[in-house]
Amino acid sequence: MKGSSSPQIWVSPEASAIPAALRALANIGTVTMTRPVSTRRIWLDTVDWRLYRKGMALTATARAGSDEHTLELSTADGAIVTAGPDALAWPRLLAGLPEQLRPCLEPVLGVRALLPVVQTSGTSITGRLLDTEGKTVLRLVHERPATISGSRDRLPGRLWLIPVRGYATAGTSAARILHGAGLIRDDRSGYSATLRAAGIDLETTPPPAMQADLPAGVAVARVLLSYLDEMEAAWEGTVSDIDIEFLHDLRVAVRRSRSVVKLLGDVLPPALVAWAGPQLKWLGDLTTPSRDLDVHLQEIPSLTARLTSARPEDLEPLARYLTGLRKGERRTLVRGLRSVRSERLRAQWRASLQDLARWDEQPDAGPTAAEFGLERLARAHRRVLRRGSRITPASPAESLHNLRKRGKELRYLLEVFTPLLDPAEARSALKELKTLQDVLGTFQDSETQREAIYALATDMIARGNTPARTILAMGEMAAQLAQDQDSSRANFATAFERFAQRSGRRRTARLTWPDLAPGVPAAAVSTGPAQ
Amino acid sequence: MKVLATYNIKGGVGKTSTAVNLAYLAARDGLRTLIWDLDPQGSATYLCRIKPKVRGGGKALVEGRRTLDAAIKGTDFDRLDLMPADFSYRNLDLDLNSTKRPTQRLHRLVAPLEDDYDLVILDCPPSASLVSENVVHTCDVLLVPLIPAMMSVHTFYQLVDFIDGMHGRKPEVMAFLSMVDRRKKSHREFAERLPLEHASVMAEMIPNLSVIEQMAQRRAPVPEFAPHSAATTAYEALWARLQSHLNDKG
Repeated sequence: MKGSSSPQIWVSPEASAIPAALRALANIGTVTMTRPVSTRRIWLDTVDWRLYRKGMALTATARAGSDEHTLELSTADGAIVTAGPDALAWPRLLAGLPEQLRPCLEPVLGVRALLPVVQTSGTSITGRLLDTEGKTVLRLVHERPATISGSRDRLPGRLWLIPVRGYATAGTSAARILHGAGLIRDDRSGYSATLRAAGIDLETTPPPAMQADLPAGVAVARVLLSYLDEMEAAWEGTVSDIDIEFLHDLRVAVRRSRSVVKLLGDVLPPALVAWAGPQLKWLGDLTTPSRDLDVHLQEIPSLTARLTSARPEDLEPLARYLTGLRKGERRTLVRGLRSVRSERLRAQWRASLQDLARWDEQPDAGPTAAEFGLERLARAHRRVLRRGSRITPASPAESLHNLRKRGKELRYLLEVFTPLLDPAEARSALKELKTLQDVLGTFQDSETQREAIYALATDMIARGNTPARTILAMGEMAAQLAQDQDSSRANFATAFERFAQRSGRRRTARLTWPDLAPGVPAAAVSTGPAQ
Repeated sequence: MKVLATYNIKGGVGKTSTAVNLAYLAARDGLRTLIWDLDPQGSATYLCRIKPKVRGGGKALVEGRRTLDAAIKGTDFDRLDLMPADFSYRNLDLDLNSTKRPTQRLHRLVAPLEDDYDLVILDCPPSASLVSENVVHTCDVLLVPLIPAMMSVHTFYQLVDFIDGMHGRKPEVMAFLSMVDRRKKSHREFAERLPLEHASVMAEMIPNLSVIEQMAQRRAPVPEFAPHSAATTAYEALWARLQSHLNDKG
């Protein structure tokens, strides 16, 4: 319903300011307030703060002693969508949310789950501002200062002005009075203030691990430590299977770590590199089967939508089979992640990196991160150009797969060294690379998925209870994937030529690829021998 | 969005009290609900404590110079809005008659509200006119309060025949007995017989109770100020039946 949204939140550091402001509202109408009610409120978001980043907020509020929550979603444009009563537990995926909330949340959440991020308890009093006819022209909610779970801080009291459709003037007059009474307008949902009060700071960006003037070894250790932090942050979510992105995040952090160890590991102690490489590979391999099944299950709807002769329900046995396999693979994954080996890996890796990441600014600590990093970046770029230029229409699929791996390494290096690069240049370089990687990705993923479909069909036939329609539908899916692979192969030459031209132009013009950030000495950079 | 209209050619049969109480219960059940008070007397508007004034009047609406969206007011209750009456609605027939496709204007005005409301209740003036014809073309369910009297039932039959003979989109006609006084033998007989004889007459009925008349003094729906009264129970039963019917219709 339009017009009944866009509430305003007013706050004051003075506890007496809101009651005084409510008394002042009596100048423009009759204020009626109900009895205070104790409430508990849970603020919900994804682990990567998707709602916060989109200017949204979602709360679940219940009266004390009740398990029934009212869900209230505040959207970026100021609309409020409510749903409830709701008594289910968190975390929850999109499919587990009330229907009213899903259209607004679907594009923001994707496959991510909502988790409780802050919990508060306090009392609130609802009220109304009435006109001379006794008609409600403005709704009021006075939230008294609330306690925050796990924090000594308190959330300051707030006064909500909730306009009634067709009575905008009353809201404007009330806002003027609150302003005169010394109250300050807060953001629409109060989410930022709640996070601040709970000690969660999402606005301050931590300094990058990679800094131009650090010794290369120290900078690389700090980058690897930041990846280890990312792994740890995704660990429990992966074990609990909160959403499939936790496993994806874990894998990305492992892959990045492996690339850094491989490409930049010569500034680390050789014994550590010799130990870390196989350990990280073990961790990566442990996660692969579960992730592959997640991807297959996630892709089924889009693949199903493209079927022409088969019916969507023909693929239901495949989805069930994959879900069963996933259960088994997840057991192996969780066992591995909870094993002594993985615990030791994390502890030992962290202790070693922390040791290497310390630097007390002693001289002669070797080449700087800028000197070292940009040389490696140029080298990785040359490697992609060289491998790509050797690929002809007759080259085997393997050569494209290898090029994709080199492209990934280049991307990881670009991400590692982004703080040393001009931001606009770094963005363009990543974009150029992404266009090429998308073509290579479609080529390889289509092949991998097609082969997986053949393997699955073989297993399902061997089990003997799979309908023929399912196998035929899987055949149609495989044929479509083959088409995708053919078309990406046909697009490769153009995509690579464009990448080579654009990125090559950048390199020849400026010696490095891409351009340096202001303040990083270009003269210090050696492009190094081709490798 | 479903559109329901409370309609009867006769006045004083409980159209407005039914519209207001059902709208209140629908909103209470979580439906985004709008009442459009089409009666120039503005009783529903009065009950909701809203001024019976629409800028530009009915003429501006039917001529498309103004939209409903700009004139709708929030009531005292969550999810319940009201499109106020205006005294100019007394000329709505004339205003409609001077437009192209005069029987479809109301439908065109209501259609853009599709995304904003789950239920729209049209509270109609007591007449058989171009306005009524518009209402019939707009609504999914025509809800007819019948007082337990032979003439009232006779008029209902005429209405059913009229709608049967209509071309194009037709509403479903659902009737219920209103202002039933159980102390009167004739009322008791109607209450027993009519729902059995006519599938379109629901078994749920609204008794003739003073608490319903108090709506005018309290300026509020009955379930708001007398939640445990027999009248509230009767309106809740009627709403439950209608809601289940609307859900079945999809």
